[in-house]
Amino acid sequence: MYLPEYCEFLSPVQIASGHHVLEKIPGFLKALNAKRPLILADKGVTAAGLIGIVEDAIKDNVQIGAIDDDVPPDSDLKVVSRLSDVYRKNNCDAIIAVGGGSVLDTAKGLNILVSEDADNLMEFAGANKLKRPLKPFIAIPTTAGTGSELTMAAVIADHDNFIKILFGSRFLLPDIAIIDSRMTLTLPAFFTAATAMDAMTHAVESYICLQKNPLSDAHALSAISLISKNLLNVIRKPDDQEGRLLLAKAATLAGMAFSNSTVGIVHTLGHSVGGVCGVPHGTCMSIFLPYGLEYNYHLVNPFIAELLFPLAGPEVYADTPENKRAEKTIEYIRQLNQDLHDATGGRHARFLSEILNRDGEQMVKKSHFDAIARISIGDGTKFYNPEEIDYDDSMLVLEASWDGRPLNRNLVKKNA
Amino acid sequence: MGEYKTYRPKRKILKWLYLYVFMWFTGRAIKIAAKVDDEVKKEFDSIPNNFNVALEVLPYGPALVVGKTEDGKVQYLGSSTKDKKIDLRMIVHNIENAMQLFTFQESTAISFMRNRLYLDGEIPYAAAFVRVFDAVEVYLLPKIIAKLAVKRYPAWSLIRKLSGRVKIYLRAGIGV
Amino acid sequence: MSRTDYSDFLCPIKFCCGKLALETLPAELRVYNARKPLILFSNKAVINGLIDPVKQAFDDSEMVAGIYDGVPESPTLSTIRELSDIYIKNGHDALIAVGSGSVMNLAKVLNIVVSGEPGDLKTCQGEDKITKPLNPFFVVPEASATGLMANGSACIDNFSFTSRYLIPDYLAIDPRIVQQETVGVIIDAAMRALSSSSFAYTLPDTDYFIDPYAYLAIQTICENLIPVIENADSKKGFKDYLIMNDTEKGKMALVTASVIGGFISFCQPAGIVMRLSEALSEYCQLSSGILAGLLLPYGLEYAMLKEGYQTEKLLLALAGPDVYSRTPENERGKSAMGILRDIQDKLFHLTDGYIPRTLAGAGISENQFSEMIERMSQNDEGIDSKGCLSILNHAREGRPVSDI
Ligand SMILES: [Fe+2]
Repeated sequence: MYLPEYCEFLSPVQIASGHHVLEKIPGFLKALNAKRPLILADKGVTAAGLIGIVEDAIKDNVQIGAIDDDVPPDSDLKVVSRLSDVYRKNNCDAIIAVGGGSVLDTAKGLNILVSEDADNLMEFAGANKLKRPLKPFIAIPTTAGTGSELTMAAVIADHDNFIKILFGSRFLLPDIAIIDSRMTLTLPAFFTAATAMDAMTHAVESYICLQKNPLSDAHALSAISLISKNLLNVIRKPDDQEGRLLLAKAATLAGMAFSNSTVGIVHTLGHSVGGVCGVPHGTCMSIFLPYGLEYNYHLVNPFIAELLFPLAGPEVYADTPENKRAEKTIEYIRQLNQDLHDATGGRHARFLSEILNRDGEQMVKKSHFDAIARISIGDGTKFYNPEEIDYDDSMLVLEASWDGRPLNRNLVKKNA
Repeated sequence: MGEYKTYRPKRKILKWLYLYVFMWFTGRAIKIAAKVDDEVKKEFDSIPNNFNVALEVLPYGPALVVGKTEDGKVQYLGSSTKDKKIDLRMIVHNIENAMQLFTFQESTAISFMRNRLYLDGEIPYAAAFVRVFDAVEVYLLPKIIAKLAVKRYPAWSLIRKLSGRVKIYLRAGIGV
Repeated sequence: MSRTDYSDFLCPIKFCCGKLALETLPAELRVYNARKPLILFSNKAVINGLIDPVKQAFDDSEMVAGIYDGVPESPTLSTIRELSDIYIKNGHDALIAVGSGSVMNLAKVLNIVVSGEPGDLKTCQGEDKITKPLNPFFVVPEASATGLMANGSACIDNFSFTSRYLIPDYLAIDPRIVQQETVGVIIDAAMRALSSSSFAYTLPDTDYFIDPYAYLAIQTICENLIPVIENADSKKGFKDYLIMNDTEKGKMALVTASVIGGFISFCQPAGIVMRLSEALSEYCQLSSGILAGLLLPYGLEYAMLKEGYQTEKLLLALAGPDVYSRTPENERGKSAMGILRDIQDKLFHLTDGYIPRTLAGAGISENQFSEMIERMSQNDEGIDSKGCLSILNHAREGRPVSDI
């Protein structure tokens, strides 16, 4: 096993999971000394009927202070400030966030304002500015992928000044994450595939990147094995509630792994492609994942080889000679993307040129590459990638992932 | 029954002095590298004018402050962050961690990994500053040590490395 | 198989393990806005010379630390009173406990008192009576660390407490602290953790959130226990001052595993092996951890036959994916038990017979079994007396349990 000279691990969020956990929320609130939660969501969550499910599950046993489902996909300071008025006007004393990354980030920002009794969120921007626990905060993720309910960071935009503000503190973490299979049951197939591949990427990257440690490794291996065993089944049989729950648990495990050991080039490029072309995060993850492994191959191929076991199971692992396992892992992930592509009627993109928007137009153009590569070298995740990433490196990977060609590993710049 | 005492922390003067000298020299070297090396110059171009970066050790320093003036000149601003406008901080938790970093037992990347230091400010600028820092280390240190300090030792030509090294050492050290 | 319905998991501890771990203490205290910690040392920690490295970790920080050396082996309420006076009078705002066992226990109780009102010990007694987070509580374990420190239980005189808020916030495992320890103590701690982890890992309904912790503890102990014992007396060479050697890493990993084992036994009800070994330890000179190691394969075999524990899974954690993949499915459980017995056998040889391979070797006679089980079932109604007797008899002769 890999024992680093030094490591840290912290995952202090209580995880309550099952098919009927929402009903336990009133009890959790009571244990946290809270009586009137504000429920936050976005319109998508309401449209999918999820707010209704949450409301029905808890309304008999707790007084809901207010429900606000007006969190936009790119939430900003103004939204947070508006919500703090809603919170105060309704005498709320806890936050329940239902949704994905944006809702969770907004809730984290809101929690700072209402707990510190402040009006200006900027006072708390940056790392480690918070010094004490905030108000009770329960997160109900609805995507089984992002893992934002487990990360100590929040990004909130300031649209007036065209900047994104980063907040980092362990006190931003929710007290409890509720993993209820009903929240992901109606997720469409291609969306399930993309979010699950995001979780898969969290697990895989946390296993090969620099901050890996024995505890994050153990979480990552569990997550990979669960996703690999359940993803295609769930895509083919969307109402498989048990499979859905296992995927959601896997995403949580992956979140625990990567919030401690962080991620690398797959996210570096993914963030940039998302920023420049507006491609959904999960789609970028599935496309770049095999390239991320190829790019770091010369430094971490023993770790990549170890991933074959949770991915492909004992038979394939035993049948593959030791020196072929790392390559087999990469091949396996490419095949998984192909299978997802087939199972979703082609909606799961395998390479960049294949990503289409709702109107069937190509979202990423070759002319975007320059901007993408420029942004990439300033992305925080590049610090954690085993190999250095500069402009040319990003271009190399982008070119290859344009039409799904495997990366020519000889072209990757190495230690001179 | 046991006994109660209070322990007043001692100062680690020698380590502090080592860091003071090292960071002073590196700070001056950064300023000069911005003149002699095109890549370092380009990195500084990506940082806005009137922008100061500090690498500081908690809680008593020393620090390394460099910045860009209103008209875009790169400056070394000394060993203290006191009374300065700092736009980006790279904060090392304690002096032992700083010693690991500046005796090259841990690379900048590994120090980040081990939470020996953390960032407060805009990440793209921090990334640029780390690249500057890496380049300066490649100039200042012999390859065998620089390899421990940076993630990927660059394939620079011998001429670039040596001529830069001579210029930086001379001008940072004795101000030629 | 999977747990189809509800599961609830929380591990609030921050683990920090390795080179310069002690030096992280001031920075971590700053996270909680604490400025003046009270550091408690057990008598043994004082003898082992642990005060210096810990207090020096505060050098060049802005924090003035209070140091209390020599917490007695069995602290009482009057110790708590004395310490809470010190804590309050000197304006401390955090606790750091260095050592193992009694000092951890004491620190938890002390933290209840200093975080609230003086009358709190009475109202906080029992399960989950503490309703809010206490003051920051950090621990620095010695090599003899058992799980005690990572769980949420404490007791003193006639008071006992159980709460998630008693679990420490921060755990710093540093190579300078985990050095001195006797072989017996290391084995005791490791085997105790191996037992609780093995039972948690093979539960008939997998708990996916405990799984990674259990997997890691088992893997760590299996890979590191024997090498650490083999090299227990080796001296540090020059090179070892620059790069951490494997024995040092192994010791730290073992302490981490012990702590995780303790955390797991707090999340899960004690398995049959832990209960039996606690009871047995009153009949012989051996500690319950060492007895748990001896009983482990027999207890697992019984649990597999009786309740469907997934012993085949254990092979993966014990021997890694290569061995697991090459072993035919129906032999994996048996192989895993073989490895556990192997470890026991190696320990027997390495310790010149101090660690027994069978209960007969431990000097426990057959006619003590029924009396012991009788006493156990008085305190614990759910116990399967016949099963226990069968486990003990098989362990006495070193015969695998193959039917019940
Ligand atoms: Fe992601």
